[in-house]
Amino acid sequence: MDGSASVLVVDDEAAIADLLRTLLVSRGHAVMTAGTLAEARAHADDPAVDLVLLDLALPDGPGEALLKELRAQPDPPEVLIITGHATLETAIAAVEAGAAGYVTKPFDLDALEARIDELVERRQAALKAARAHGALVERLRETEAMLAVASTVSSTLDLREALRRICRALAQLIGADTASVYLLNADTETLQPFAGYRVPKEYLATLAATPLSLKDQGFYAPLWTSREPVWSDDVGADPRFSHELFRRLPHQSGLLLPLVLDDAVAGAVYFAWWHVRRTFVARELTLLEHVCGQLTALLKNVRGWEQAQRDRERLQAINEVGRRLASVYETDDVLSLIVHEAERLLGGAAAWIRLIEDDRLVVRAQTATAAPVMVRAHVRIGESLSGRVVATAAPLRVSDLVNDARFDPIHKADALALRFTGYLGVPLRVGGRVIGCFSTFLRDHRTFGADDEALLTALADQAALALEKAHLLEISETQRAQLARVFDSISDGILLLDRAGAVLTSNRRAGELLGFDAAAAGGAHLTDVLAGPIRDSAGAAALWDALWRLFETPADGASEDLDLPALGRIVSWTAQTIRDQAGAVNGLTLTLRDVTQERHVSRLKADFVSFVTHQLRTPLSGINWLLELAAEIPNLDDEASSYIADARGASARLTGLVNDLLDVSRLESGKITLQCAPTDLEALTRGVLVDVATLLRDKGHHLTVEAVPGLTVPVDPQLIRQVFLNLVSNAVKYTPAGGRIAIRLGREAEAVCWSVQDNGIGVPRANQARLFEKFYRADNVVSIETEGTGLGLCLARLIVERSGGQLTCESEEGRGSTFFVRLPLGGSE
Amino acid sequence: MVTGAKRVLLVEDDRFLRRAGEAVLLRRGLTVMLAVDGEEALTLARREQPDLVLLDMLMPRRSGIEVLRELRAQPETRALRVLVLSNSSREQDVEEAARLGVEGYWVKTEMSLNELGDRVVALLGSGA
Repeated sequence: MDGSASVLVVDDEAAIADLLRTLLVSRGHAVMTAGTLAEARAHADDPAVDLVLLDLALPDGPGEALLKELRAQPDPPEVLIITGHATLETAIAAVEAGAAGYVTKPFDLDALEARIDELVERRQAALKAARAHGALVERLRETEAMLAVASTVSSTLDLREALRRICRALAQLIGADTASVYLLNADTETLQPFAGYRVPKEYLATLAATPLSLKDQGFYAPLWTSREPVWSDDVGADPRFSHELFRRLPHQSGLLLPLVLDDAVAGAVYFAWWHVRRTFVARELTLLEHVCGQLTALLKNVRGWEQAQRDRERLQAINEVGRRLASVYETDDVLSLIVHEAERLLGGAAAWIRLIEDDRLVVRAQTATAAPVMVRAHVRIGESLSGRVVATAAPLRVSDLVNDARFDPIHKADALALRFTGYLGVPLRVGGRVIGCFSTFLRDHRTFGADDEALLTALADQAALALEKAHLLEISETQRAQLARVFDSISDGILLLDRAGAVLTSNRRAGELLGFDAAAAGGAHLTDVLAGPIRDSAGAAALWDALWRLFETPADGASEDLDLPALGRIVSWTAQTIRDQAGAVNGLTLTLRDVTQERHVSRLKADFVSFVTHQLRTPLSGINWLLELAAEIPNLDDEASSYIADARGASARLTGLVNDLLDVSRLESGKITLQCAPTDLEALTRGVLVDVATLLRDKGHHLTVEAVPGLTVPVDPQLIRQVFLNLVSNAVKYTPAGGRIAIRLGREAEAVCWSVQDNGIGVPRANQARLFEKFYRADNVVSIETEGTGLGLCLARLIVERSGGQLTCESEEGRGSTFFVRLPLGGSE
Repeated sequence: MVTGAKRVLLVEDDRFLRRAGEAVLLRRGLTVMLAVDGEEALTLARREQPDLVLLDMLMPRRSGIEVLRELRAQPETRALRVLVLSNSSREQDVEEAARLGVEGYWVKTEMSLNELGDRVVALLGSGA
């Protein structure tokens, strides 16, 4: 305060007015003078007037009227009444009317001067106080506004509502007529109105018609690169405010503030004053920038929260789809769920899936809103948007369908009619192979972001998984059905058993053979399944025991006949163990074959052989016996005797053949009972050698016997004697005269081994395998001896095997043969 | 019996065997009676009470094993000595014959005629 003031002198007497002016100017004050009330009024509105020296008697009216008007002003100036005829009454009235005091003419200049100084000082003190108060009130309002903004920022997550409230608080704070918030669409680089306070409808209509393209704006550089506020108190004339908006809705002043989010401009706030020329001081702008900082914090909070919310929803949806996928087997249900979830989660207007069939894409699932656009059932790969996604195997985002040339025109027309403006499609993949496309539409110029693409891809993966699962299920179902048909049409019965003996599965034929319902037998124990057809439960138990032994000591398998009298059939079973991947036996297959007819035929055959041999034996006995009588006739001539002798020889051979046949038949059919007794095999061998002694001598063979003495085994001596006799006779017969024959008897671990070795003609390699078959004779034998029957070795084998032993042969043609008989020390059981 | 000669009942349906068997037994001084089937065998056995019955197994009308059962069932024939002489060696017949009680079970093809005669004589000599 320098003490100088602005003073208005109102007096109709020019001399006094001049005197006062001189006085005041000399004191450094600025002086205006008025001679009439009207002149005084023209100056009275000037808020800079600190002091009025007022004469009450003015030519055009009383000075009191001006006094009254001055007092009605905010921060009224000090008024000093100057009057020529002072009465107490007027003085009191003037003071009551708000005058600071009065002086009467003629006045003492010194006193007046002192009075003026005092009033100027008072006035300036008052102004100072008023300004301080005003600033305080201003701070209070700002603080209140900030508080409102802060509480809004921290208390609401509804961004639109929050921004609207903040707009109001700020507009009120800075006295703007309207405020609005714009957010940047990064894809289109346009500003889109988001929230506002007292925004006129025409204002919004203008923006809708003319997008606020960011880079075209005159204020782009300061706002977007320098991030500084842009303002103008004459928007209409300011070249920076070039947008249509400012022409269509003319306003006097405007202020644009940037919203900075994560170090990037995310939008702006615009305040407008229709008529006021509003200017801003640095402090105001700093304050507003600070509020905008708060606002971006809000934006950040809200966006973060929205993102979290969206992520949570999407995760839930993917989780839900996955859960449904596991429990819903109908592929169409899963796909329908997935397209609907996609539409909901992406905020989309439509979603659908097209799959490759041959070289075309066919709609497989769609939401209701997608249906009208899917007028073409097929699109080719590479064609339209879905086709392009499949062809490129890459996601495709389109934010402006109207101008996208790739979009099929027919579909485009339908899509635009439904106000679809954006597209997002991702490929459906199975094992790296694209099998189709998952597509979505958006309305109202909303755009898809990277996380939308990620979500759609995740859903597409789920859909592909569902399709793949359905495909595999179909394949395995077809294979299962085929296998089941094969399994059921096999002519043998098959049962699969686990280690515990439970029937895991069985075919129809198995059910027929064993008389159970194959379809209902799953899980039942084998012995229960067999309880019906096998009346004697011991039979079932015996079968199970045989199978159990397979589990204990897995061999190649086991096979036996099962007599089922209740069903009138004989079933032959063969068991094979099943091993798991680690090689452990975990079950077995039981193959069943109806052998009733086979066994019947073989019994008939055995009976037939038996019958025939008996029938043959009777006349043979007659011939033998009668020839015996004939041979004893006294005085027969030599010729008759020789004929009778030959006839007896032939008959004896025939008898031998028939007896061998009968033995073979009985051994094969098991109709022979062994008469076992501990038998000294060395003694048995010596007895045999007595029988062949003559023959041996005739052929001049050299025979040796090496035997461990005292070896006895429990066998049927008659039958084993027959074996030894057969084998030794063969050795003698099939070794050229003067041969060497060696018989050895020794002990092995669990058996006795008896062998006869010769250096005779041997057995051709090709014949060795069939040597022990019935009626089989080696090729090189026939030329030497024609009388053999081909039964001897077969009989020997049958006897040895029946005794629990083994008969084998080692031979080389032309070098000789060795036949080994191994008999178990413990006998046949 | 008054005479010293042993009496043998030869039961045999085959006429050649019957003839040969009769001849060899007669040569050994035995008295031989012949039956051609099971019925005749039972009649003669009851009536004649022979010292030995040589019994065939496979015969018309009644088989050897049936004859044997009948003989053992009747008190007057229960103690008769019987020797099975057969070409059938069916296991169950052999077993049943042994159970019912016989002197032996001989297979015709496995022995000569003279062996038969000698063994019958030996049997009768030992059991007479």
